[in-house]
Amino acid sequence: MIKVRRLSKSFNVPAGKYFVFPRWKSVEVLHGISFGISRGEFVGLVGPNGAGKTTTMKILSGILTPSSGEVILSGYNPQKRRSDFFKSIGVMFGNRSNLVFDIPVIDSFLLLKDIYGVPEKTFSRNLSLFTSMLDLDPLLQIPVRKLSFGQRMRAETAAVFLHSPKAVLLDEPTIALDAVAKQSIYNFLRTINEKTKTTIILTTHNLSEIELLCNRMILIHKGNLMYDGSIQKFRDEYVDYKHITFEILQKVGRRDVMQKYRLSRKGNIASGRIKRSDQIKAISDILSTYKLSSLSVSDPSLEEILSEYYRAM
Amino acid sequence: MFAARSIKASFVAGVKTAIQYKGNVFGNVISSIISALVIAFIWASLSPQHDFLTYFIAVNLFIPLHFFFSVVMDYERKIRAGWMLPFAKPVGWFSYNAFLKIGSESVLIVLNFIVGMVALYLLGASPSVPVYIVSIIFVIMYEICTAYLISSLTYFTYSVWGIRVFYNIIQNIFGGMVIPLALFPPAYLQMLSILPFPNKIHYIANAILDGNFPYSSYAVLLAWSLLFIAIGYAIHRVGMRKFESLGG
Repeated sequence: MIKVRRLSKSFNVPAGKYFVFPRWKSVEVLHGISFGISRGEFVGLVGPNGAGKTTTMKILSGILTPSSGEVILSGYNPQKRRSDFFKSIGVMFGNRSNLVFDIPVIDSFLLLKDIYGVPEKTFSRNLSLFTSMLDLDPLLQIPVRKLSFGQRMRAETAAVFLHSPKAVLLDEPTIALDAVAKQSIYNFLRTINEKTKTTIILTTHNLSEIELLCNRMILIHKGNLMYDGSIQKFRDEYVDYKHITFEILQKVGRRDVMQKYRLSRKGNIASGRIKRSDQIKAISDILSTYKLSSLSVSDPSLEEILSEYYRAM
Repeated sequence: MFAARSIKASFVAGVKTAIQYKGNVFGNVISSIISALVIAFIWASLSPQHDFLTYFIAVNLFIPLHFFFSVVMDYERKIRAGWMLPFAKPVGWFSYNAFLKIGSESVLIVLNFIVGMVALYLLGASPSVPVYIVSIIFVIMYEICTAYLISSLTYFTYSVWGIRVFYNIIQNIFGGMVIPLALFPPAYLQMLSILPFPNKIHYIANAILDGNFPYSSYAVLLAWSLLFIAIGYAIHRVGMRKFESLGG
């Protein structure tokens, strides 16, 4: 579905303050990254600010031209900007709008219908499905400029899928949204991905979204591809600890497990990190030392893992 | 067929946008009438033998002088902001914007036409509707081609505000927008007639009032349009390739 081979992109930036004869230097933001994505996959593209995620998305959507390398999406080279290619993809950038600001939402949808040449039957089916899933019915006759941000983003999400694209590129689609609006968009994306096998690439800094929605993660850092695979495999490869938290009722043994496992205690609640390889022994030590009212062991969040990963790079 | 559908859709979206801002449309019509009256009054006091009122009403209400400005402004702003709806859509970046603007400006053009016709009939003139229709098509075609050329420079200059202002001043002076070209020496007018400005304003306004088709003006406008579109196309192609404002 998507093939990216040795993709590089450089930008020219001013090299100093020269008014008459400006000098430029080339900054390489992507260093020959390669990956492939199959039909129906839901892939999270992650990385810190300036990693090259948005540039990758813009090259995939035909907006930017790569400096070198090859991109094939739905069988097309995006840089040729053929209308059949654009009809096969949907693009949404969280801080930009696909809708016309001054006309009602339904008129923007009708405009997109004509721009994409969507058959009447497909349009009606998609519109009624998306309207019910994203609760758009009360919004359709309202001009886009009068919608709240959350309402607008729901309408934007529907707009991207109206022409039944084969692949959808979503760049921070839930930026600045509240929990309810996010949940509604998550449910929508998950359902569409499962039912229609639409390939979705999602970039976001909210890594819980990636955990919740994606079955694969591509990590880019400073323009290099650092990881490509399942989130669980990433955890297994890069994380050797788990979080443990327990509530103490009373001490029954003499061992000092707090010091042994470097746990911290606040009142009756103790917590800390334990090595995966030590977890059974640590739990057994804790249970023989304390009478507990509760105990939980959990994996660290992707957010935590990646922030440590970024710091270490 | 597909292109026609998207052109129609852009046009309709433009009309709907203009209807959202009725106040702007009426404001434009009223300011056109006021400026026609004021300029005509000033020139009539300097040269009482000429009928400037009908000429300036025709210029201000029949020639879509805001058109070029609004197309360039919108396109430039969208390139600078790094996003417009058709960047990743199966439509041309410029043509989508141009037809959206034709849609929104058409509301003003129609309203100006009605008010202008009524005003001219009340003043005893008999403007020609067929000449108006054909002329307005040529003027809009020229305006789009000029907007295409100038807005494509945004890729290289970041802002074309200064170029727009410069263009507007030249147009006002040499087109007969502020100074009636009827007062110019004939030799000077002959020289100016190879430029698009008098052919877009002075000759067209007079032709609508006289009822004679200004074929030479159409030819000049067509020639300039072709030149602008050729240069604009080359600049656009390079500009789109070097487009970087969206780099993440």
